[in-house]
Amino acid sequence: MVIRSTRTLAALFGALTLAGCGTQEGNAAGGEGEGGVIKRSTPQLVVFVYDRSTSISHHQLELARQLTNDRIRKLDHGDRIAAHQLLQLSLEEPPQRWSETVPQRQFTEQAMMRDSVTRARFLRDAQDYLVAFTDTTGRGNIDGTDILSTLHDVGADLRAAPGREVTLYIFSDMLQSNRTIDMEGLTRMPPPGWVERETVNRTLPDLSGLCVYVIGARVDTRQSQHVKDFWQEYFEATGAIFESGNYTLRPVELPEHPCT
Amino acid sequence: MDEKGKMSARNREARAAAFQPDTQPLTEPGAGEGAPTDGDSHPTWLDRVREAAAPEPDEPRWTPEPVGSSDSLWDATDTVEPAPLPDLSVEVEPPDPTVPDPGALPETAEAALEETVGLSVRRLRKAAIEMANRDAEADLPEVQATGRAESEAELRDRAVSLFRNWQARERARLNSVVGELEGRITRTLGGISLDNDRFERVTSELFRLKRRWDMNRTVVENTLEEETSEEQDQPETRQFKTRWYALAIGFLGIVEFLANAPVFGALLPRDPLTEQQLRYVAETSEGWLAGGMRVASQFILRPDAALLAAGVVTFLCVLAHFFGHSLRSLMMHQSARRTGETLGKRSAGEFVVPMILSGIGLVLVIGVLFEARVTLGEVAVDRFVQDSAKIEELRRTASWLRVDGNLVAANEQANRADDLEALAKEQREYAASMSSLSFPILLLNTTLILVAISAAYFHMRDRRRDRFNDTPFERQRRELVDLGDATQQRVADAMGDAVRAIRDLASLLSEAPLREAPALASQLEATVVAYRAENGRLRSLDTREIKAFAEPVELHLAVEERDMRDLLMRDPEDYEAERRELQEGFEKTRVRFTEEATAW
Repeated sequence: MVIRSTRTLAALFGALTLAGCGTQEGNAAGGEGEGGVIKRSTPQLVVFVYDRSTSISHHQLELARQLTNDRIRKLDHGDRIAAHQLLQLSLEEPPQRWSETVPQRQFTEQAMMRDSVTRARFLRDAQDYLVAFTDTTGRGNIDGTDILSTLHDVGADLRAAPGREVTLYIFSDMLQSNRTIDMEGLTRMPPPGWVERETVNRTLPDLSGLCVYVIGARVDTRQSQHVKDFWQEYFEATGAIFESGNYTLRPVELPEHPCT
Repeated sequence: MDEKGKMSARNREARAAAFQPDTQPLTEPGAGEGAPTDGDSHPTWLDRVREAAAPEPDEPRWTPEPVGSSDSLWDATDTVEPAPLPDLSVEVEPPDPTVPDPGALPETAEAALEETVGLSVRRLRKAAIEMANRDAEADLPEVQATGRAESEAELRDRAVSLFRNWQARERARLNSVVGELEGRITRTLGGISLDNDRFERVTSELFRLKRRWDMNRTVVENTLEEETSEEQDQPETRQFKTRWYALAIGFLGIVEFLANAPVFGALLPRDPLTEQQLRYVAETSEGWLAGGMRVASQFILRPDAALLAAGVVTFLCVLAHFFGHSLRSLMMHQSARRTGETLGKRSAGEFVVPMILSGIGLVLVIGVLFEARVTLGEVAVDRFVQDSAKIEELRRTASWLRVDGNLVAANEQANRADDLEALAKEQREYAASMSSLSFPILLLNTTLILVAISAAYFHMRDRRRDRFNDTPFERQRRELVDLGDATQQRVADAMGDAVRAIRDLASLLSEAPLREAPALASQLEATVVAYRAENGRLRSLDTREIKAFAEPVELHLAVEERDMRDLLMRDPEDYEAERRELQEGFEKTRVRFTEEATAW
């Protein structure tokens, strides 16, 4: 009887010890399953890029905010979230970007109310914080839309989060507009072979593994198709995954895994 | 005035002169006192009889007053004018007790009884002398005259009256003394008879008590012999077996631990990591063991509080154990002392001291627990105020971090604030409930301790063996023996009193009653003779020449036969026989009593 009691206590100690020894990697991206059992999956890196230029209408920004909130709600423990506002002219500008990781589970794979509260609170705070990226006011001083330079910052995020499934959501009309390239009305489109030349020159960012999802770009005109072609060629050149169906104007929701 | 008239006048003068207080008495004045004044005089047998007979308090004592109306002795026979009242203005010289009275009666055993009579005789003689003087002056009685002279006739009457009065009073006094003695003897013998009966009853009761003792002892010892044969292998028994005792004490300890450990956990400083781990265990535990794991985690993850509570519970159990054992040992010691058994050199102090110490320890521990619960409420209020300030600070910091985009840190701060708030509220509510439940938990603790003490009390090994308890019989036997001894003593004393009283009665009656009568008669006749002699002497005549004196001086004062008869209602021998009969009955009972009292 004494031996049995000792075994019970030892089991309790062992459980407590294991609970205290839980690592962040082990708990990363744990998903809550039925019965409190965690279903492990690859942690994600979700990058939101917002275009607040005056060419973006208010309702489009409002849609961006709603879609962002919906997508953020699907983030799990250990997922990383990053947000960028498109640069206006070049990389020389100070970037407006933010990134955080959804807090890990504290101990084990076991579903805990406290972790759920923490995650919910974090996601709510993230939604609130990202409101600033979809703010419709104060856009008068924005002089351009430099998507190409911003993608360099996205590439930096990608390199900072190895081993994650990375998805890029770009809330923009995808019209590059700075001193060298101005796609509005196809005024100064990149010349043919520009992508190849930049690739040779290694001036393009490495976006390997990045799944790109575009919201706000039109595909209903010849000009917009031309722009889309350019971006398709560009992303393919950078190693990103760009599917034609992920180039949208006003989607109902953001897919969690758009490239699978 | 004729001769008769002259004699009457002279007689009256003579009587008046004789009754003057300043007249020199014929006998010694001191002899006339009511009690002997000589300090060296010893009480006579009659004094002892008087004392034994307890004379009536209303019996008048004679006092040496002048003869007058208050003198009943003379008043009874005085046929002439009453004596004049004494002149109180005249001082009377007190008689000198040292001067012997030549005319006094001899101090015999009877003298004490005859004092009043003696004085009367002396005064009668004095009156006779005075009468003789008066008659001589008047030349009376005439020589040739025949017949009894008037003065002599009066003198004779007075003498006879005095004698009869003395006889009557003496008879009454003797009757009283004898009656008192007989009454006393009767009461004493009656008391002896009653005590004999009581002694007989005590002896019989002693006999019956011994029979009951024998019967009960036989039955009990037979029963115990059967039980003992079944428990030969286990001579020392416990009323509460060790395994059940350990189980009970263990369970009590667990209950006590669960009741008090959270209090110490709330009082001791809290560790955030510990709280986190506790929360983790609480959230992750499921199934049938969830409750046990949560409770166990409280004690395992808070070893300080658990050890403190375990220490207190251990103290309680140990103290209760020692208290119960000491109490049982003390009870056994007291029982052994009452039954007269010896326990070697052990004393009650060996059990009282640990009992007192453990009792004080129990009171202190219970007091500490009670005070801890009461203090818990105050501590919780203070802590809640402090925690509220911390919570507010954490939330403020979280807000700033959130504005800066540091959402993880903000989340952490918010989590800490939430945890702290939840913990503070929980602690406050727990402390409030504990504080309000202090007294009920005090009662619970007290009950648990009493149960532990009782368990230890009955767990104590009892080295005594059951046996027949003869203490009640012994107590009754002692009471009966004491009662019998007291009765014996009372009967013995009463027997002594009865013997003495019977002997006094026999001694009183061995003397002839009124045997002083002839002597008194002679003295009274002598007064007549003195009258005649004095009369003749003063007239220078031979009394034989006076024809009136030719008659013999005989007053015929013999005691009548009826007065000489026995005064007793019963013969003293009858009393003695009755006493002997009672003595014999008492002796028989005493022999039986002694046998019954010593046969246990």
